[in-house]
Amino acid sequence: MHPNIEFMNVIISANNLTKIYGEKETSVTALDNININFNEMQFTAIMGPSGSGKSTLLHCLAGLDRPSSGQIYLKDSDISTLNDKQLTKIRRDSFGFVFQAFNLIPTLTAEENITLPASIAGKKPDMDWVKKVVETVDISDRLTHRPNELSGGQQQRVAAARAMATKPEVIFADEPSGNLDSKSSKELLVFMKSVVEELNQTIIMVTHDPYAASFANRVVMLKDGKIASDLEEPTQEEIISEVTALSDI
Amino acid sequence: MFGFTKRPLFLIAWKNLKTYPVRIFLTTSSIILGVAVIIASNIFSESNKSAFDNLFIGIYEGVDLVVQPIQEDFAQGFSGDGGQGPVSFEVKKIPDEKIQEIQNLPSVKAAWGDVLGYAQYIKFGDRKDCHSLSEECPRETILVQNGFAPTFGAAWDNNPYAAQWSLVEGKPPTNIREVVMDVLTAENHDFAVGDKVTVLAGATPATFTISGIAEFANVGSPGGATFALFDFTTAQKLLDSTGKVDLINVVVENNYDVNEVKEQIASLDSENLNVINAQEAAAEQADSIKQGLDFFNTILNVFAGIAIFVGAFIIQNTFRILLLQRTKELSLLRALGTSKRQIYRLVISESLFMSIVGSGLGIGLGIGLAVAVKEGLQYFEFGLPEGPLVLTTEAALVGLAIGVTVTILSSLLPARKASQVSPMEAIRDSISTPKGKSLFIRLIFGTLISTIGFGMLFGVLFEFLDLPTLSSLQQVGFGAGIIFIGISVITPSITKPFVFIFEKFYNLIFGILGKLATENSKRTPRRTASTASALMIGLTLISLANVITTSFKAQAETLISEVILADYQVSAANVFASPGIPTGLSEELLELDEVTKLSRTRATVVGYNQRPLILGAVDETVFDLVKTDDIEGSREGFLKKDTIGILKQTAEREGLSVGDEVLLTIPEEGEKGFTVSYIFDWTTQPPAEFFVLLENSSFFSDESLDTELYFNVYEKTPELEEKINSIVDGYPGVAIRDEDGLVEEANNQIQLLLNVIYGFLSISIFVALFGITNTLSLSVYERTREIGLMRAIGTYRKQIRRMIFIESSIIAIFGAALGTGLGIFFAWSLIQTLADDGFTVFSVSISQTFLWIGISIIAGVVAAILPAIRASRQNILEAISYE
Repeated sequence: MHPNIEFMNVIISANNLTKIYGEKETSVTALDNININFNEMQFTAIMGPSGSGKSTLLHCLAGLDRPSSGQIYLKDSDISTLNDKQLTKIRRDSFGFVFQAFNLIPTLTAEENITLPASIAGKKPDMDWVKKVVETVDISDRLTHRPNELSGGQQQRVAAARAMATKPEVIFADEPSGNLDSKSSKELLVFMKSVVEELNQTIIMVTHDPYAASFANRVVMLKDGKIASDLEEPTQEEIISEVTALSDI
Repeated sequence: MFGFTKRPLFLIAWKNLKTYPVRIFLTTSSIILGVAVIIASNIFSESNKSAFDNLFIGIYEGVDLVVQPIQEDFAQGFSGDGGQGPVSFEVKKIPDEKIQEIQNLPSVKAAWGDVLGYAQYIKFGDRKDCHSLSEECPRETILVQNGFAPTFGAAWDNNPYAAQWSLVEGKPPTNIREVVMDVLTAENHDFAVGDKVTVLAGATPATFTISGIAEFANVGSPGGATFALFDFTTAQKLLDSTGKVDLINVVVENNYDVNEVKEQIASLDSENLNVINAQEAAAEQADSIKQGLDFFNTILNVFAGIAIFVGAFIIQNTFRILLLQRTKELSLLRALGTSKRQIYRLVISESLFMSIVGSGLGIGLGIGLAVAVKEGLQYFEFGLPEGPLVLTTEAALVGLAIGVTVTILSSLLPARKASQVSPMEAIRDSISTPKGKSLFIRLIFGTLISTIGFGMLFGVLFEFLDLPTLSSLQQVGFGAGIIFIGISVITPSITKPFVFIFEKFYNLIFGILGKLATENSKRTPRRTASTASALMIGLTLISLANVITTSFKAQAETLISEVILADYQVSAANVFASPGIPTGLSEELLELDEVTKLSRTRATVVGYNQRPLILGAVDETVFDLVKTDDIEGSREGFLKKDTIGILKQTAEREGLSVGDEVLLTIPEEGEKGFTVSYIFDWTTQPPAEFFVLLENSSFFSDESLDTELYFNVYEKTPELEEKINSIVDGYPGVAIRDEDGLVEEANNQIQLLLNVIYGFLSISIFVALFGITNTLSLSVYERTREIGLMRAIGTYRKQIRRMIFIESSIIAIFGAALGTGLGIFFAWSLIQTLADDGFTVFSVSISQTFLWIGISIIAGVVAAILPAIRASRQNILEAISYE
């Protein structure tokens, strides 16, 4: 048992997580001994100014990057020591991803993109579930289209649907609304919130936008590779004042 | 310090090449190979030419004049082959007395004769399995030969002035039971001084003791031939020269003028003797060998040309790829105010640098290749003369010029395209995949070109178009060439439909990876097509060669079973090495009760209308054993004395018909008249053009050799076969074949030719490999983000690699399928065109076709290894992150 379990519903956690880039004199500490738990069925936003390490934290948690020291637990198992192949399998079967841009393979239709993780795994996707997801994100009429025939908002919703299609344990979102206009942005965030509330998914999202963060149940602020604050169900105003306070220091 | 350079673009071009040496290699790989083959073939032939020059100068070193017999006019045309082959034509020789006569001249210091003829060393292998209880089983006879070189017997000469042969070991032959062997044969076949060896010279083999081993003017043996050197009188006796010599070497006394002596000797017997300077004789002999080497050189150059042609496709493609990867850099230059023209020049100057480096490397590789070929031939015991490798300045310049020209021409289009890059490109973030112009215009244009080609080709086949200046074969050839160009233009437009055919199949086997790979190859149809085109060229030629030879094989098979009515055919085992079949064999065979019918064929060279012709003498039975068709006259007429039968083609050519008189000049007999009684068609390879009945022709001496025997047996049984074989085994150098054996032999010869062609064409496939590697590298580079995303959402490295391999296989199959299709079609057209010349069978070897398609796919996958590894190792975070 690892030492940080406080609630039984912790799904992923970081233990003394440190990430240092570069060698000796030129090295930069992106994450400095971080300890944090993420609970199941929660929508968590990670915020912080540029260079705070928020993206690095997400990449380490999601098995896209390796910590310099410390552990990452997915439920009870340490995934920081896995090799590339094992880690790839975890990403495929247990995680979902929504990136800021270029989320979809341009040669595949929306539907093929959504079922891509299952196809790669050589599994038949759970079609009832996929249908439900597709309806929730409201792209049923766009399934046979290729990405270049979809609007930016539609593309991100397809990406979100893809992230959920395998019923992952955690969905990681890296500035998912970063490239969207405000209307599409709101649609996507509303949808993400509903995914957590109605379909019992877990989302960890990196964003620099307080408005986007206000959709989350929990907002974690990072500064200089350390956790600066941890807010439960904050309002947009609370987030803005916290962000301002952080940048003032 | 800030430097100012007058030629900044030149500097950029130079810096680029210095920074990315791998680019130079990738771009010019095909040119390197092409230039290397040109250079290697040139070095190889030049070196051998100079070596042969030296060799023959060496042979006649010390000799001033060479006295040759004047051959009868009609025999001159045959003197080139040294009197070898199945036709025993009578070469005039010089009687021994002439040597003494010449020697007696006060101006002559020394004169001695040379004797040269056919002699075959024979080795005995293990005893064969046989079921004979009473007799000893015969041992297998092995004909000793170095590669395909001829086998000679000659006289050992003891003169002190010009020793061609010098002993390495042992002593010269002194009696009728001794022989000196050349060092090459001794080394290759493990003979040593003191060994007993059987030699077949003339009709009967005899056993000799090896008294010594000798080398010839510093090489083991000239041209790799085997040499049996006997003492002078033994050589004369064995080599059908009793009391005669083939030529006389003369050394002139110091204080005499060589040319005066030349005339003196000639005046002794100007009707029969021809005197030439030794240097002339050397040059003459060297020239005949050099012509053979020139032919080999031409073939090599043709294949080098093909490699360079394929290379041009690939260079163009690679340039496009490299420039696309540098779009940002070029666009930045544009944004900073560089003109389109300057960008164009930048690219061209880069290609100039690359071409010079590539051609230089090609020349270097060519030298290496030449050394390897020489070593290889040495290894296979060809016994080429020793000598340094010669690279002429001319050859190096030609190689350089070809390399530079092809590279620069291939870079013109990509350079133009690169110069049109928008200055905005630098600011954009994404790596753009080029959007091609409509492929529709290409389709129309290509179809138009192909239609012209098809018109020319079908015009011949269906006889509706006959271009005045071209022969039908040329018209078909040009038509095929134009079709090929047309198809090359069309390929990008048919990439999508082609891939579509495979899509379902690939999706089924490889799942989503198959789908991704097929989609990717459709994405840039131009690039996919031009990469496939490089492979298409090689495969077209390979399948063309394959179908033509397969058809010839099938043709040979049909022909042999149709026209050889005999159960067995007997001939010389190697027509280049042995003069024929001793007459004793036919006599022994006829003694067998089971042999029901036998026919002999003999041949000699005669003069007709001042030209040499082969006159054959046959038994009457030949018409029952070999298929012949009556054209005019009758066999009955042919059986009469002083009549002659003529082949259909010869009769047509000479305008002869039954009843005409022909006057032949027969060696040692003089002129003799015959009446044409029979004109017929000999449906196999005819042994002669004029025929007489053997029993009517007294001028075929009994000592003559038979060239061919055909015979039938009462019933083919294993016991009989054994009996026949044991008789034939008593005559080394003679081979017996039944129908299967004949077919097999014909097939082996065709297959050997095909394998040589395959070997050379493989170079073009090898060059095409580089093209596939380049294309896939670009493909991977363009899809950095896509591959990163796939990795992020859980695609294994292995799966990424597999995806690239599948994509590569699609390109390979596309090129191979198009090439194979075209090759088969061209072969079919060619055979249709040749139908009038007797080629009627069209046959495709399915196994060979699929073998080469398989090889192409494997080649494609091999070419994908590097790009696939690169793709799978791509850093995920770099690929997906945004600054």
